[in-house]
Amino acid sequence: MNTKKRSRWPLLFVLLLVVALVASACSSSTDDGEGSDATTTTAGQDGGDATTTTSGGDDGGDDGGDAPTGDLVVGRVGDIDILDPHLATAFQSVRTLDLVYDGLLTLDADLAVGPGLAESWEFSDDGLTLTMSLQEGVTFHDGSAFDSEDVAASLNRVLDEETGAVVRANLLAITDIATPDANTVVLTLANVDASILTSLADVNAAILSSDAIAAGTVDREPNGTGAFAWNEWKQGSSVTLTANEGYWGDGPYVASLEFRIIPDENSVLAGMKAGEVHVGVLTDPAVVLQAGDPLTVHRTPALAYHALMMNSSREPLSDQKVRQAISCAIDRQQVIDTAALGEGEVTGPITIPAYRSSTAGLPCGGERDIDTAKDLLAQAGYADGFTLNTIVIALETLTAIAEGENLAAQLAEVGITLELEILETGTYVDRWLAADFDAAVALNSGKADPHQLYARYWPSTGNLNGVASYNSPMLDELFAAGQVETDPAVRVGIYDQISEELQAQSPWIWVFTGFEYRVATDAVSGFVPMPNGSLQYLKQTKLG
Amino acid sequence: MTRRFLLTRLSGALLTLFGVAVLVFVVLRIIPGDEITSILGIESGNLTEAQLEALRSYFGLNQPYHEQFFGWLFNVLGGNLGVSMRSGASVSSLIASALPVTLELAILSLTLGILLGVPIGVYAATHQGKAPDAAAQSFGLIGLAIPNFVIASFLITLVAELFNYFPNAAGYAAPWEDLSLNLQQMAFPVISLGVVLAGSIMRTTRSAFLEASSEPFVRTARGKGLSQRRVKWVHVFRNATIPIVTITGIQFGYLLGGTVVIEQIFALPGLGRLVYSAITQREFAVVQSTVLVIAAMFVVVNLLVDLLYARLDPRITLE
Repeated sequence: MNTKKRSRWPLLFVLLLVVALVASACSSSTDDGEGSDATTTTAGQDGGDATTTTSGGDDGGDDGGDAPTGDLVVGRVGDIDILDPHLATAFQSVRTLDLVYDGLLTLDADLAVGPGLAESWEFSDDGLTLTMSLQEGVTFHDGSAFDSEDVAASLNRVLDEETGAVVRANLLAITDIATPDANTVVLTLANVDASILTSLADVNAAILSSDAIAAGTVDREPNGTGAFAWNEWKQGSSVTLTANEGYWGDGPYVASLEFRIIPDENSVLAGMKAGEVHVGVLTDPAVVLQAGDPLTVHRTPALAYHALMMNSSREPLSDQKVRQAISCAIDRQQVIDTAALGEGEVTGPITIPAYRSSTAGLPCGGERDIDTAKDLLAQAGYADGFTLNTIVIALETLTAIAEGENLAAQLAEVGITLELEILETGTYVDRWLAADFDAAVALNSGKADPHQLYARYWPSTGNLNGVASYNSPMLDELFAAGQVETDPAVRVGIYDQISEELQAQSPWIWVFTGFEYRVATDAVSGFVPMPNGSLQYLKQTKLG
Repeated sequence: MTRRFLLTRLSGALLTLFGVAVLVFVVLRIIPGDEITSILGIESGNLTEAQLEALRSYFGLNQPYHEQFFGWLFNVLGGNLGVSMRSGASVSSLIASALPVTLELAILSLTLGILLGVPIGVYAATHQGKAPDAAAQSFGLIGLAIPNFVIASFLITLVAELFNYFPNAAGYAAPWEDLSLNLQQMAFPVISLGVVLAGSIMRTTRSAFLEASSEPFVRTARGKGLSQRRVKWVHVFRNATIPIVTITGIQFGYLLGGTVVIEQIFALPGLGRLVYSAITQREFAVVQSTVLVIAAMFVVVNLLVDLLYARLDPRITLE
C-alpha cells in the first residue's frame, strides 16, 4: 500500500509550485498588457507610454547653463491622493503638485509674497483693482503657450462651486476677472483684502491650461508650467516627475524627481542610511532623533500648531474662568518634553514667523500655576472638577495620543478628567465638523497669512465659527480691520491684539508647534525647508 | 461523488462570497467619513453646500445605497471591478499589480515556515522530553509569541544600522524586472513572516507526529520489523500530514489577504496595503472588489485543502 501512496504525498508541494507558476503568469501579463497602463497615470495618456517629453525646450529662457543631472529620490510615508490641484489638500498631493504647477504668485522661505506666473502686480489706490502682468514666453508641459486666458479660466474654475475648491472661500472678494491683453489680468475686488495675494500663491489656486479645463482632463493628466513635468504615478509606490528644461524660473537642477512611498518612517531612515533615498520627509521626532552623522536634519518651526480645542458652547467650558483655569493648569513645555521628546516650541495662537504671538498674554503668565487654577475653578463653582469628553485623532498626528495622555495627567491634578476618545480620521473629522466634543486634541495646519489662519474660526461669520464655538464683537472688529489693512506694521499690531484677546479668553489652549523635518544625505545641496512644509525648493536642489 | 462535493462546495462558496460582498458594503457605509472627508479632512468644513453636492455627485456618493450596491455587483459579475476615483486606474489593474507581490511573499514565507517547522517538529517529536525537544519547543514558543513586526523592526534596525543595507527602500522591483533585487527585498519580510509561521507549523507537526506515533499500527509496523526510518517517514509522518496541511492551508489563506504591517514596514505594494489605503481613503469600489477577490482566493485555498485531504488519506471521502 505504501509505495503507491508515497508517490502522492508531495502533492502539497506540487500545488505550491502551480500557484507560483500562476503568479508568474499573472505578473508577466501586467508587464506588457493594459495592466501597466492602467495602474499608472501618465501625462500622455494616448500613447500609453509612461514618459512625457517636455516640450518648450530651450525657448523658456532658463539661464542655468548646465543641463539637469541626476535622479533625486524623496522618501515619504504617504502617497498622493488626487491630481486636481484645485481640490487637493493632503500634504503629499499639495507638495507634489506644487512642483508641477505654478501659481500667479509664490511664497519664499519666510512666506513673503513674490512673483510667480505674474511677474509684477499693482493695487489701485482704493485697493479694489489688482492688475497683474504675466511672464512672457512660458509654456505648459504639453507645449501650449501660457497666457491670460489660462489665468481667467483657472480662477473661474476655482470660483465655480461645481469645482468644490477649498480655496474659493479665500478668493470670494474677486467679482470680475478681465484680460485686456494676453499678458495682463485685472481682478476687480468687492472689498479690500490684504490676504488675497497669499491666497493667489496657494497651489489650490494654481494656473491650469484653459484647454485642459475645457477638455475635463485636469484630474487625470497633470499639465502645468512648473519646474517638473508629470511622468508616472505607480499608485502606492511612487510618483516620478521629469525636469522641465524650459522652466521660466530658477532650476530645475536634477533630471528627475521621484517621490518614493515607504510607509514606515523608520524604513525611510534606513533607506537613507543605505543610500537609496536622498531626502526624507519625516514627522516623527523619535525617528528623526536617530538620524546619524552622514545625514543632515533640516528643522524649521512649523506653521501647524498643536492645540487643545475646547467647546465653549458647552457647560462648564462656556465660563471664561474655567477655560483660564485649564490654561493655568497646563505646563506646555512638559507636553513637548513628554509627547514630542522635546522637539517643539511653546506657541500662542499665531504661528506665522512675521506675526508670531508672544505668549506673555496667557493666563498665569504662561506658567503652570495649580493654585490659581484651583482658585479659578472654585470661583466658577467647579471646585470638585468635571469630566470632558476629548476626541483625539489617531492616525495622522503621531504625537496626538501622547499629548492627550499628558494633558489628561496634568489636568487630573486640578480635578478635571479628560476622557480620551481616540478616533480614526474619518470619524474624527465628522465629530469635529459637527462640534460633537467637549475638547479635541488637534494638530491644525497653519496658513501663511493670519487672516486665512483664523478668519474662518473666530469672526462670528467664519464658516467654522460653529466648531470654534466662541466669538465676540471685539474679535469681529479686529478681524475686519486686519483683512483690509495693507500696511504690514499696522497689520502686525492688529493681529497682536487678536492674539492677546484669544489667549485671555482661552477658547482653545494653544500648546506648541513642532518642526518640519527634512533629512538629507550629503549628496544633496540647495534644499531649503519651509515653515508651511512646502517642498518647492526641490526646484533648486542639486545632487552630487 | 467528487462532482457532487464540488457542486455543494461551489454553491456554498458563492453564498459566502455574496455574504462577504454585502458585509463589506454595509461596514464601509456604516463607518463615518466618506471620500470627501478623507480627501479634505477638516477643510471640508470650508465648502459651501453646493460645493459639497458637486463633489458628492463626482464621487457617486449621492446615489441611493441599493443602486450603489447592485450597480457595483452587476459590474463585478460582468468582469468590471470598478475604478479608483483618485487615479482613474481600474481596480483590476490595481489588483493585478498587487497580487503577484502578495503571492510571492505568501509562497516564500510559507515555504520557509514549512522548511523550518516540519523538520524541527519531527525532530522534536522523535526526541520527546529530551534537550532537542525543549529547544525546539522554545523556538516554537518564541515564533508564536513574538509578533512579526517586532522581528521586522529588529531586522531593519540591526541590519540597516550595522551594514547600511536596506534594499526595500530602492523602490519595489518585480521579479521579472530585477530578480536579484526582488529577492533581496523579499528576504527580510519572508524571514519576519516565515519564522512566525515556522513556530505554529512546528508545534502542529510535533503534536500530530506524537499522536500518530502512539497509534497501534505503528507498533504493528515495528513488529513487522520495518526499519525505524521507514516507520517514521512512511507510517507516522504520512498520518500526521492532515493537521499540518490544515494549518498550512489556513495560514496560506491569511497570507493571501495581505500582511498589512509587514507590507507597510518593508514598502511592498501588495494586497494588504492596497486594501488598507483604500479603506483610509474611503475608495469604496477598491475595497469592495479587492476584499471580494481575497475572499474568493481564501475559499479556493480551503477547497484545495479539502481535496488534498482525500488524496492524503483515502479513508476520507468527499461528501
